[in-house]
Amino acid sequence: MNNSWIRPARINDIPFLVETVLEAEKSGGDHAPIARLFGLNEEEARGLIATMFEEEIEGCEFSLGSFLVVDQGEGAEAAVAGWVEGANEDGMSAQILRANLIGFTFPARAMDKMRANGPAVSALAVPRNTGTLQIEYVHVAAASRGKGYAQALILQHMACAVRSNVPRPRCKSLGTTRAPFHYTSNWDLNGRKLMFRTIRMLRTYCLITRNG
Amino acid sequence: MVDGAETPLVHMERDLITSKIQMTLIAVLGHGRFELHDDLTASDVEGWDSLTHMSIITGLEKEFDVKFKLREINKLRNMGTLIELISAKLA
Repeated sequence: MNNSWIRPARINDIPFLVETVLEAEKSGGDHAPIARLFGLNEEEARGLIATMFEEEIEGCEFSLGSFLVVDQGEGAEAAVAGWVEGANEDGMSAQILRANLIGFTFPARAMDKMRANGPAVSALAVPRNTGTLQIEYVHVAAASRGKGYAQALILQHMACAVRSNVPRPRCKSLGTTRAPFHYTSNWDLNGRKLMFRTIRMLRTYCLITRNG
Repeated sequence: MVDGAETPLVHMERDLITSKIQMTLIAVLGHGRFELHDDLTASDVEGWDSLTHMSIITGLEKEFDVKFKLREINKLRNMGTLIELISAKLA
């Protein structure tokens, strides 16, 4: 992590966040469900996802404010979304915020296609508990993999959760980097012991960042 | 007596809005197993998920011939706030 730092995502990062959403949804495959279920090609989906980020709605996976990124001075190279469910200004669930964003942004033909794919769309819904940390959409640019960026970002989200007394994180298995998920899942299952390890690792990481 | 004359009218409009919302919900959800009151939220109603939510919002826009703004619908905490929003748009 030398010469790199973690920061909140900014408007200029939206192209990278769009890439993050699509690559994480593909999970190493060829098709992103968010495009396929709505009958969109990838370029159409790319533009619509960017529009959703530009709305700057807080509290879901399409919120600019949910993302932390790793920057080495030339823009984002890794991104992870994290938010505390229902902790936004109006206490809205991510499910409803996401639905509102999609409904407001996507064209009518996409909504018709979505309705036709209703059961598949419903099957992708993630049950979320209010007040828990949600970690989604993990992506590291291909050239920057193997440097621990995804783990550092997840730990940073978790550190914020520890500080705000969030009971436990919840992971959705969407991402191009798998290792950090095991770590987070273990924290979920085993509680305090791994939480202690997490905090120690985070301190190590922060020290490196400050010196870098 | 002016107040007395206006109050029933306001109530009647609210009742009409409530009734139309109820009809829209039944049409989208395919059931009427809910009691419509101001504190009702999506999580209280069977089948009101992200998928049906989009159809409900679209259905309400058609029913009342209004267009919601994204920031308006993101502030709808419960049925009471939805009725107030529609009422304000119809005023």
